[in-house]
Amino acid sequence: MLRVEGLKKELGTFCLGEINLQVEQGEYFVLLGPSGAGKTLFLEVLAGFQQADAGRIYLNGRRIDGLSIQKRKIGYLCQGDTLFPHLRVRENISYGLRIRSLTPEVIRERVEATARETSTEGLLDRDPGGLSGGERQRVALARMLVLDPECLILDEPLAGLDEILKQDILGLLLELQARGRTFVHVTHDPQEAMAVATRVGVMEGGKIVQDSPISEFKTRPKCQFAARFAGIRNFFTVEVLSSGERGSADRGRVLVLPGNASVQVTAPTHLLVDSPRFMVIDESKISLYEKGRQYIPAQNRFEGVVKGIYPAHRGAVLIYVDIGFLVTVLGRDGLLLGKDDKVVVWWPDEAMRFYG
Amino acid sequence: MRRPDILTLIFVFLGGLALLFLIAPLGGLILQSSALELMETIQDPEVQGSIWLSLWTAMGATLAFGVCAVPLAWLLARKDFPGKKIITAIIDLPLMIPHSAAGIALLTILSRHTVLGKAAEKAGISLVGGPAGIVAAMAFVSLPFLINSARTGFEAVDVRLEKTAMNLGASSLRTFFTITLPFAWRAVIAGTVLMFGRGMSEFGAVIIVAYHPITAPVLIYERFGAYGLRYARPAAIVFIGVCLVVFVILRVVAEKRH
Repeated sequence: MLRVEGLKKELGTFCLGEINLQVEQGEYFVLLGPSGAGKTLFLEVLAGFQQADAGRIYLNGRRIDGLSIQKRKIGYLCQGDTLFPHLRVRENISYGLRIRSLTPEVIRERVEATARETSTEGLLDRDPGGLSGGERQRVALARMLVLDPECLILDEPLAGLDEILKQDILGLLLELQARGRTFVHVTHDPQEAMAVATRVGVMEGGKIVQDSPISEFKTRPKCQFAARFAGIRNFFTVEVLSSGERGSADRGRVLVLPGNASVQVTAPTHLLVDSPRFMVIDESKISLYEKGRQYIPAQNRFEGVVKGIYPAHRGAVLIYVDIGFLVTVLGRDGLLLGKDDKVVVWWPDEAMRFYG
Repeated sequence: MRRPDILTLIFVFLGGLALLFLIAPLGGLILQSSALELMETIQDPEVQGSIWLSLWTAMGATLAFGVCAVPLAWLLARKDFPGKKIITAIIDLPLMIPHSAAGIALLTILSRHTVLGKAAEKAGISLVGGPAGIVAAMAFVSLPFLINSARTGFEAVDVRLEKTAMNLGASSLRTFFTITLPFAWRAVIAGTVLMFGRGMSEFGAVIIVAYHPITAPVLIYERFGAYGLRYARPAAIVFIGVCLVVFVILRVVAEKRH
């Protein structure tokens, strides 16, 4: 089990942390985030290439943040091609074993066993230069696995691979996870995370802004990055101004952050129990009217300006409307709307979901 | 056949002029000397002695100072520290100052009145006017070639390979010898050959620190001053020939090793 407590690291103007994280034995944790979020720096701190300014790192109960890189028992796969090009595949895989004063016989046995585990037996006597991208990643993984690390940390292991090779490596990673290996896998690709993760974290600006099981990640995003991936366009951080009196006909009032304080969403009190921090509005349930049209319910009716119209699937269009905050409406193609047109937007209570 | 474009034609012409400028004096040297003169010069013990002295002192300078220069190059390539830019400028200084001035500067630390000079004297080594002084003079003017070349080589080595090696359990020393150096090897060797060549042909600093024992460049200068062009020319040809052979051998060996 990998446990990170209060980890902080400053590098130039970038600040990583504070990070608290626990990855259980056999768990496959994927850390998602855009470029520059601090994912690689986090892995480098875990592996010991960067010293943390504060915090503690434990691996299977053993505190490792004060240990040298060589003694941490963490297998670190750097991003990109890291095979030693001047050594054959067999020598690449046995590189770490040869340091450990083992007999040639033991080294040969362990290399061959790991090669079988990673399906690289046929590559052992080849030069890395002649291998495909997928084969190279398999060998790089074998080189780590042969040392039996307590945790594997992978930095964008599928970057630069085509779809078929990606599936190939993903399959191998899943097999390894099924055998009880613990993984921390960093990527900017949510599809990749979905394929292997048992738990997903999202890093933005050096902080883990979401850490949840994979199912919750899709349905209850806690940041724009996760929401975008889950296909949720109307994701908002909110502040409940008043939740209303329970059981009464009163409605609670919610402020969308950041937004115009005069634009407040209202909701039935039962939706606002426990002061939720996030709101999702189903884009397909939002209605759009010409300005001046009568008989529109008063609740959650806002005047706005069309900011853009983009084609969506099956002849639908996505209409972005500024109502004090930007809301996305799923509309039919053929609407006689243009940019900067003034419209009225309305949604029913059942279009809203609050959580967090 | 397609006609070459105008850019290629202009560059071939200008490049040809530069090449001619390099080849013409060498060709003139060879054409104006007879085979008999050359044979006599080759058999001349003084010429042989000076060339041998130039060769071994240059080799000594390269080996002795290269052991320190390569680690310095690695530090400059891999570490950030205060004063790095100043150190880089100091390293390039011997390339820019007159080599006679470099010789004078060396005398301030090597002469018999200095701490180093006195210590060497006690150990029975004469720095000024001896092979040790020649080695020092050669090293002073030629070290930048090795340091800069090796530094470029180390900078070109992918840091991720070094990190991977360390993650696999290799110490920093083992990582240097098994990963970094094999990749920077070509640049280190190229720098070594350049340092050796530059040291072997050094005249200005050597003549100030040690006129005697006489190295090949000093011998050529001496013959030119005392007897004129006719007597200096065959010695120059023989020395150039030796340099050429040595460089070709070193390059071939280095390529094979790589």
